[in-house]
Amino acid sequence: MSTPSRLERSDGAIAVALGVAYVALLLGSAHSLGYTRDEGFYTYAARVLELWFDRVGDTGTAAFERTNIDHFWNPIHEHPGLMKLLFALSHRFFYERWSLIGESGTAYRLPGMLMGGLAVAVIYLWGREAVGRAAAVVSALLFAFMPRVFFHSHLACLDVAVTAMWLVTSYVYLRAFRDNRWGAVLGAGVLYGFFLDTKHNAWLFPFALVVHLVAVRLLERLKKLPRVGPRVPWALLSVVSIGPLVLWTIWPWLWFDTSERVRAWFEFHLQHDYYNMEFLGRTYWKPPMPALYAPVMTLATVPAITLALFALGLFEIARALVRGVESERFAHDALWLVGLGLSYAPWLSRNTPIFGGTKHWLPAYPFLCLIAGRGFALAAARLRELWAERFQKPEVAAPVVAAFCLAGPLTMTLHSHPWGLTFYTPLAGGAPGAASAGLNRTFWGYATGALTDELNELAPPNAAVYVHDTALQSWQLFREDGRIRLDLTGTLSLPGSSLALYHHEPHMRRVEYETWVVYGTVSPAAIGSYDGVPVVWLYARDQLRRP
Amino acid sequence: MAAARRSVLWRGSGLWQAPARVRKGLLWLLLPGLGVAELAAHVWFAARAPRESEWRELSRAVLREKRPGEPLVVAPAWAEPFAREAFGDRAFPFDELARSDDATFPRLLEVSALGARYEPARSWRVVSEAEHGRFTLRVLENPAPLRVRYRFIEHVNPRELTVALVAGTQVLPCEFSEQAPVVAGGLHGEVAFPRERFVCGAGPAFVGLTVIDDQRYEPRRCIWAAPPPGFTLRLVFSGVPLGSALRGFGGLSYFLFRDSAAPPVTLDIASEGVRLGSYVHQDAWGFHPFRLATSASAGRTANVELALHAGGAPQRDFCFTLEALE
Repeated sequence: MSTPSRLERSDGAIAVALGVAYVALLLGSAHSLGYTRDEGFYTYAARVLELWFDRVGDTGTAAFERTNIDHFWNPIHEHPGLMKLLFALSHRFFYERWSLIGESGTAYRLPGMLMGGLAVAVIYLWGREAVGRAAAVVSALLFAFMPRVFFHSHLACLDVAVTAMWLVTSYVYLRAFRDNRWGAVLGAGVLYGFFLDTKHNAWLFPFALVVHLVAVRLLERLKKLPRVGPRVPWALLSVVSIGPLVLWTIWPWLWFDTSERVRAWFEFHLQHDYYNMEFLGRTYWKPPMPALYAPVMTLATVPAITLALFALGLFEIARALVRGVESERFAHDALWLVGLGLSYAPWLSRNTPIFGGTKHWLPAYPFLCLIAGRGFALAAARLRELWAERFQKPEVAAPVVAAFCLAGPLTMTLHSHPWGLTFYTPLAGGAPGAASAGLNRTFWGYATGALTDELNELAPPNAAVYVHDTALQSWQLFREDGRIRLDLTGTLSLPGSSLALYHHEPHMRRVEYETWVVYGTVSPAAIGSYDGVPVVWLYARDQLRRP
Repeated sequence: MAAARRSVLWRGSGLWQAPARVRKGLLWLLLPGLGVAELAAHVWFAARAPRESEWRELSRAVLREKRPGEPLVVAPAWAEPFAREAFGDRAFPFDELARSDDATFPRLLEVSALGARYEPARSWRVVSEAEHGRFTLRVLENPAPLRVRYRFIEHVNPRELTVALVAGTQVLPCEFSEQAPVVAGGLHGEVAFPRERFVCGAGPAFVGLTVIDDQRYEPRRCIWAAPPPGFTLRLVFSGVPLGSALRGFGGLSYFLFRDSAAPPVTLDIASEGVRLGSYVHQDAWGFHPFRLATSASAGRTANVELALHAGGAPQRDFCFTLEALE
């Protein structure tokens, strides 16, 4: 099958076109997507950094002294700073200074969307090099049109960003590993620093590279293949040495009490609180977590055609290994497999929390799609032969097969918006099937976005609205964007509210019961639903209900 | 003509006359076929469940069938919010919606969509069944309903209940208030404290009706009676017609106490100085049933005294239901 080939100039253009088109689609659809809890927290962090920018402008280098660094960076140190800085810069310039983006919240979201676009573009480039052009386009679009990826790509959050950074760093690393050019070698190290500064998934990356190196060298020895890259793995050394230095340089919080703060960063995430998550009718809130969570949720949320192509791709990789493979091609495949495996690996432990749903293993998905590209290439080649038996122009076969493979993911993804976390594939019976099976319908409180019209209509002037799972900072974004009336205040006090939101998760139902008692009614005034499944509902005090 | 038709399938011959290599190759068509099949399945599943407007259209038929004392149940359960929105509070009285279980109800009205059934009553006799659009309305009959003489939850008022905190010889009466401040703690806080309740001094202790979450996070309406540390909370219901047994459920908000290993709450029950029995509740049980035989008192109408205590342990947020069975 396909062997690695060098990129052409047009490939850069295609990659850019794919990435830009994806960002445009995300930008065009962002308005209808409500703000998640974490977006509230990250935009709060970004606002703090915007104040720090002001301090830099006012005091120059004094803003980099410990007092100021601790003042601005201490409260927002749970995660590193790269994306929060980008959110802040985007808001400051694209919204406040240049008014290029009309909504404050969308301006905060733009860097996350760009990361989504970057991932799509790099999947194309890597797929093009490793498999071929048609397969690369299919890989990139399979990723773009995973409904959960599409949802997360809209957000001012870290999950798609870290997915993109794992992918980009892997790609540059592979080139550095293979070509041993100093630019690429240094680039891999620097990129890893940025990757570390994105999210802690990056801690796993060096392990992935060691496993990759061992696998490649073992295969070369077993199959007596020529060695790929130099004997000394300079790229790996660059990653583990330059990466942390870059992290230290670009995350000011680490400039002081470095070892204690690094330890605190690790401890926070290694001893993270357990939150609740519903899975197959049961709410999990402490270990042991369900062993099948990651595989079942992958099956239930990733289009089956994508998974079938992935399975075919795995078969093709295994077949190539048996029949004899070029060492360079194996270097690609092995890094994909390792990236995929390491991203899922934490869920082999039953102590790993599952509260974030599928977002925690998003970094596996670019590799899953690249491997699916191998499957597509194999299928397209066979169908091209078949086509040639019957029709003229066998080159049409691949685009036709691609269209058949992509129509479902595209349709499902567009249909899933703005209910990305409620969407389930037909394998789960869609949203109604998943609700019956007891799979989580929503979390993060973003579904408030579905009831803004009703809120604006029913709320009396200056009313307080109980926001339930929507963070107050996220509520503020709704107001700033004009989606919710400016006179409506978000509150966490039910008795003091005129209207009350309820975002459904089983363990949160007690909040709904409180609402029944406080408001004296069990009948929602409005419901936000997806495919006939209620997701979020609004209670109103008697006098505010519609006749 | 036949030859021409065959050639549509394969050049110059029928499909099954094609070379084995070609026939094997056709298996690859399964892949784009899967893509199309998945797309079709998606469209079908997306349109499968009734929409909000259809629930509203069902309202008239449901309200026509709904009888007091016959709870309305929805299958699948996740669709119930649509039913509550469409049919309103009339169809879902608090006591029925947040009932302890179905055992004492002679009938249920089931609204079914997507072919789902209300599982706890699947074996009940179907009295009537009617199709309404994409819904089925069924009246289900309980084969052996428990007959209730007295539901304590219906008598939490100052005419029929007196409440006091007791510590040794000290007795602090709890006054009934119709204007107590309503409190609700949100996800991690207390359950809702209703406006009408017996308020015990200046502290947080009170007795009143609220709703807690059980071990499946389902709603259970109950009498909140949390004994403060060091006190016994005493409730005396007057004029209770006793029967063969007292049947109850006790629990604390499962979400808040599912991991708790706090000391148990004890509920002692007596009538006219005669001890009827006790129930000792562990937090992790959730909303848990209990039953005390009262055959010796059957047929008598008497005062029933409930004494709740948990030693010195704080936050024993106990809530219970109790019924006197015939």
